[in-house]
Amino acid sequence: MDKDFARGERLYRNPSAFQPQQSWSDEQAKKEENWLTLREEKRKKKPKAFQPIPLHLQSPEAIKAYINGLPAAPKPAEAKPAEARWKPAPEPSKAPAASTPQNSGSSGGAATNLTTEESVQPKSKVAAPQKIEPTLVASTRLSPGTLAKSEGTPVKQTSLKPQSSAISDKPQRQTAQVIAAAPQPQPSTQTQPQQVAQATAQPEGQWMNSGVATKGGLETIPFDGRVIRKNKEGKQVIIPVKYGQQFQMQPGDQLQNFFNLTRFKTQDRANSPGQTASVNTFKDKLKNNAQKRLQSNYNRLDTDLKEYKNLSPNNPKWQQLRQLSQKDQQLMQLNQRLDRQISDLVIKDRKETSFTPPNAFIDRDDVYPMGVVSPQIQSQIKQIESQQQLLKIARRQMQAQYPALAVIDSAKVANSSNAQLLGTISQGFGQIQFNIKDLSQQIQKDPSKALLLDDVVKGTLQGLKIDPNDPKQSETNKQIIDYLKWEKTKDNILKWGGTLLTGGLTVGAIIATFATEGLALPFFLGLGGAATGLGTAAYEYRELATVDLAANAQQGGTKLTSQDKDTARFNLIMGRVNLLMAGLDVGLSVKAVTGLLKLGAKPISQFSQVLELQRAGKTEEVLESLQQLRKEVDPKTFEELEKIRIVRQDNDFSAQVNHKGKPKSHIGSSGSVIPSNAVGKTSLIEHIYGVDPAKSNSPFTSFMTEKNGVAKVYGSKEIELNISRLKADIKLGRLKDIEIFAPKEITNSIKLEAEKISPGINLSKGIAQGNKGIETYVKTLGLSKRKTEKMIRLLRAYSDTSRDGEFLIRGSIPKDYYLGPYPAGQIQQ
Amino acid sequence: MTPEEILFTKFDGTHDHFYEVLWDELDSPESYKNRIPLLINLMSYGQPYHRLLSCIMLISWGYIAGFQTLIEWATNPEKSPWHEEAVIRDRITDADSAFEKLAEAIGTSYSGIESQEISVLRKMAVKTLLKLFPKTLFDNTLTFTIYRGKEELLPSIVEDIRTAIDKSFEVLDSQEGLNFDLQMQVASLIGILDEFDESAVIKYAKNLVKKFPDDRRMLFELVSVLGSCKSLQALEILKDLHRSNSDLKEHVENALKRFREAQMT
Repeated sequence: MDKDFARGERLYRNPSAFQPQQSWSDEQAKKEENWLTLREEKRKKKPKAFQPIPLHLQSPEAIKAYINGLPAAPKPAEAKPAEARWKPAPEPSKAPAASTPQNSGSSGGAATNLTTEESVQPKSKVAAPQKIEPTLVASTRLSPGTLAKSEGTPVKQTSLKPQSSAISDKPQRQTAQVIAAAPQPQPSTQTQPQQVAQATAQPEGQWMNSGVATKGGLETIPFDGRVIRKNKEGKQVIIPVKYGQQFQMQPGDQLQNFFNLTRFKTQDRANSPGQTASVNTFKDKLKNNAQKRLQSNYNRLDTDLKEYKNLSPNNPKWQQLRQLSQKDQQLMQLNQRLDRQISDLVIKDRKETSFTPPNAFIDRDDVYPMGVVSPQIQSQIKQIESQQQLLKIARRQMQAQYPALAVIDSAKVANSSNAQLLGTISQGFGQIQFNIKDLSQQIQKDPSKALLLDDVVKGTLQGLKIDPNDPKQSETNKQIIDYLKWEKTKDNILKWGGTLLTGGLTVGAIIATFATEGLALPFFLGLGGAATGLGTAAYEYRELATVDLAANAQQGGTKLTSQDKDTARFNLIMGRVNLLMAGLDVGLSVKAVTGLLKLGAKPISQFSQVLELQRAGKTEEVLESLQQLRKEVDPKTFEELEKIRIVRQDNDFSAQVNHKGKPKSHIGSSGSVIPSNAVGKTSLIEHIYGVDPAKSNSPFTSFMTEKNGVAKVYGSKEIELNISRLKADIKLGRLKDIEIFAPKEITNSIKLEAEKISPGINLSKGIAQGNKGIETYVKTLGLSKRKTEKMIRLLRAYSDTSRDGEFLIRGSIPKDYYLGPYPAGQIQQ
Repeated sequence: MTPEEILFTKFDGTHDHFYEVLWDELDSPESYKNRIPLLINLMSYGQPYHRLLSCIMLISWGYIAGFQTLIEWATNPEKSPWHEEAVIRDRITDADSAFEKLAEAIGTSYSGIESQEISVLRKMAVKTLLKLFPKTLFDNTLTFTIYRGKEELLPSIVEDIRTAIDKSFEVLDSQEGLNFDLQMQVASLIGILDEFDESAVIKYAKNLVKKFPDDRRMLFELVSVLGSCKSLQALEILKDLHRSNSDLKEHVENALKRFREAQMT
């Protein structure tokens, strides 16, 4: 202390000699630095619990390894040099018996148009010696030429082409195919202890090699993963990388992604009811149907892309696409609103009735189960859910008609030029096409994967004249239904949802009914007539006479040009969607809003109150206000209400600590949003002050309110809070140790704090003049300097909280109560 | 004393929040006098986080060394101790908020020791921060600080403010990806100009509304600014915002009320 004091005092007495330095110069500083470096390294080595990656980057070998139940990590004792780690992909027929899923029953399935790359790999190439070759391998986000694949993989276009002529191999997709066919490292030959450590710490996934860089350069990383680099001493260094990150590649860098999945248990597979002839027949048919569908969709993307490429800048289709994108966004928002409506009904029910739900009825996959509410409102909820089903179908239909909707960013579409849109579409389609091929390969190997395409399943069942709802089933049909139920209920299926959503580009975007929630039996078993009519295959919808009929109806039967048809298609879709939206009551009960088309100035102010109430999480009051308003307000205003989002943005939601190792709010391995310290003692006010040490001990996570559905981009990713649902479940007692502080409550806390300093203070008056008047007002209070400064801070916080619509959540937020993380600034479903 | 003791304990040894310690000195500067050399030392040789907090304290309490350091860091931000990795972040945008806290400290210094030297350094510091304005998070804090020292600062920084605003618009036009809310920041800063160049305020305000018609945070700041204006054009913008932004209705109404009251007087 004396030494420090003396040095400081010298500077104090002689400020002109003062020269700040950039680092410590004494022993203590060195120790500090070493310690920090060690801690940082330790932190970097720590594996992240959940790193989903886009599906299209999974290789067939990865899938195979997974199905085989091969160990995710190699034994360190069998380590070999990095170059030797690349081994050729074994030919499917020569793969160990265990590699064929025991329940597939599909080895003799009928030939399909889509053929996996693996099946056309020449043996000679497969067996070729390992050597890195300067050719391209990467997703479409990587520049060609930077990453190389092993020579053991067939590179020639002809060797990779599927037998089907329908699927052309454009350069963009070639790259992806090469990845898919690239030989994977043999588990037994992997070397790095770091890798072993990471793999063992990742029980639900494994690292997959995706390529080796042959030359340096700045690259956009196409997935969350890591780069393995050799340093000067020849030691391997692991550098975590993120999706979309700009990364300086060096020659020899290995890029790996993390494949998150849960393994099938051999035991479960053995218990599969999928061993009978009838089930095998069903699987074969399913596989063929799925392959046909995939191929159709693949071609459809080609056609659409060609069409967009040929469009002139002034072609109205660009405008149509923008309008459709907005409409798609609105549908999604309506769906969210209906979600909240159910939540409100549940709360109302709990408040008004003495109905007690069964104790054990808390199911995270079914947030609003029928069993938990009184019979009186069950029908209302069912009605709302049927509306949601229609919305879902409408969105699918729109995306099916205009696949580009699935890949363009609705948040940016209005400000994007046609060229930018085309670029996005081209890139997005390329990725979807690779997803299709990837899925096709998987289905070829394991037809049960086709169960993810539930409308294909439905079609296949129809083709076999099986009605799953028919109580009288033949024995063979029963076997098939049992098999489907088993597939649905087994708990160890791939985590498709997370994987696909992260990529943002789904096969399901055009395959009308790709189920992100797992296998989709409930969907096709439970769907009513309307859904059957509207929800059938998207591809067919476009191709069949529907469009022509609609066009004829509009044009009075005159002969149509292709442009007329396109216009008709657009009008038809927009018409249907508008009709659907008009028919939905986004306020309270069914059909309440229909017909309320114009609004005056008065309802706007009433709505303002509703917004405030909603922000404050006062769902009951919102409910009442909406009842009051629904006769005066038109759907546009409801849309306005819909545009409010509660979001948080961050560059890295998975990081538990910031640069200095200080804890921060993050998404934990369970998927919950965890504050710096869930049981921390930091007060709400201290959190708002926001300087350590209080903040790193904070049990709060900040969210802000954004209007118009689109948050400004502050971090690379964002999550959106379902505040109503959270509020509802806290009230129902489903969530413990969690509390919501809406802007109103935050301002109340500030008020209380301010009252302690100056009883009777009028904060609204203090901020009435904005920034300009705060100090003047505080000085009228006659406080000491300390209190003056504190009061100024409180008044500014009071004003800023109102401005930001800030929500604070105390405690951990389970994953069911937020959406994302998604790339910031985007609306995602 | 350890850095924690220097920064997070009151003179009587009570552990407390950083700002509680900081504000405490303003009422009893003598009690903290022996801490100044330690703070200067920590600011010079400590860890980046401690260096920043020491600087904030020294500026707030009106010590020359703090201002000198701030000016040096703001002149060469790439040489600031936390340049590699931020040590304080905004709780909403997660952007580096070090310079915002330093800007706030300048405002607090009006409650600290006053001297001719400090006055000069304060002007220099604000001028330097204004140069960083288009690319650095300040929220509305720098604006607030300028309001606090309006009489002292404004005569010498008006042109710097204009330049900061113009450059910010260039950044906004370039659609450069920023990790903080520049438009809101600009909306707050233009208010400084209202007393001597309201036409410029209106011009900037129109531009902002046109560019970001639905940006709640920006509009909130802008409405506060326009409520202090006197021209009919400001009134028109407020009325438009009243019509088109239902969720800011109450705030706009307050601004309109202020506007009308100002007209009456």
